[in-house]
Amino acid sequence: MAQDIKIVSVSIPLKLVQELDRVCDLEHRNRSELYREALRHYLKMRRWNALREYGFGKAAAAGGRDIDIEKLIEELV
Amino acid sequence: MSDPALTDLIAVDTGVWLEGLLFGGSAEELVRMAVAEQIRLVTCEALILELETILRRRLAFSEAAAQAVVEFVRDCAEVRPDPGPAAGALDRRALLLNVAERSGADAIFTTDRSRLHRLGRSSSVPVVSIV
Repeated sequence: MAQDIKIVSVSIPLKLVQELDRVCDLEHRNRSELYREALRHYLKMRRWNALREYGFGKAAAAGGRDIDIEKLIEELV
Repeated sequence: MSDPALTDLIAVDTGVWLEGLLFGGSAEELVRMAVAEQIRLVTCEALILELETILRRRLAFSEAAAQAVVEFVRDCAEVRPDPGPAAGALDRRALLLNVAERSGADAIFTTDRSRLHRLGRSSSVPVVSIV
């Protein structure tokens, strides 16, 4: 819906825009769709990376590769 | 965005999320593919609750971190409702099979090396161990 969208302007190197436009042509999509998709992927991946860093720390504290994941789950039941 | 009809739908068990979070590897690659919308993941409410409980009780994740994982899973995967009151009576492997079959999943990815494979022999959904 229109009220859920904010129009922003960003500056992008010409070469990158040209490459983006080629993808737009190939995929029959507009620039906004590709910007939104790229941003959505970036933000989601950033969240995952932060969670994974936290998880790696917890795994190291709990015994590293010695953790038996199936056993962890079974023991919960 | 990829066409959902053309993207494989993978039912994932709790162990896959844990493996990816704690050790990376193939499980993490699966998550990255889902983020990039190259595949779709599916799970259900009971399995998300199981994941959150293990993170908090067994791995000492803070409440905020466990919640952040749950929110990420909800954003990254399709979350199907549990199969009614029967969910509580189902073993987690049977629950995963149930979710996969109800969702029309193309495969089940699991960290379970044997028991889910045995249970899944009668299922039309192939079971793949990723560790």
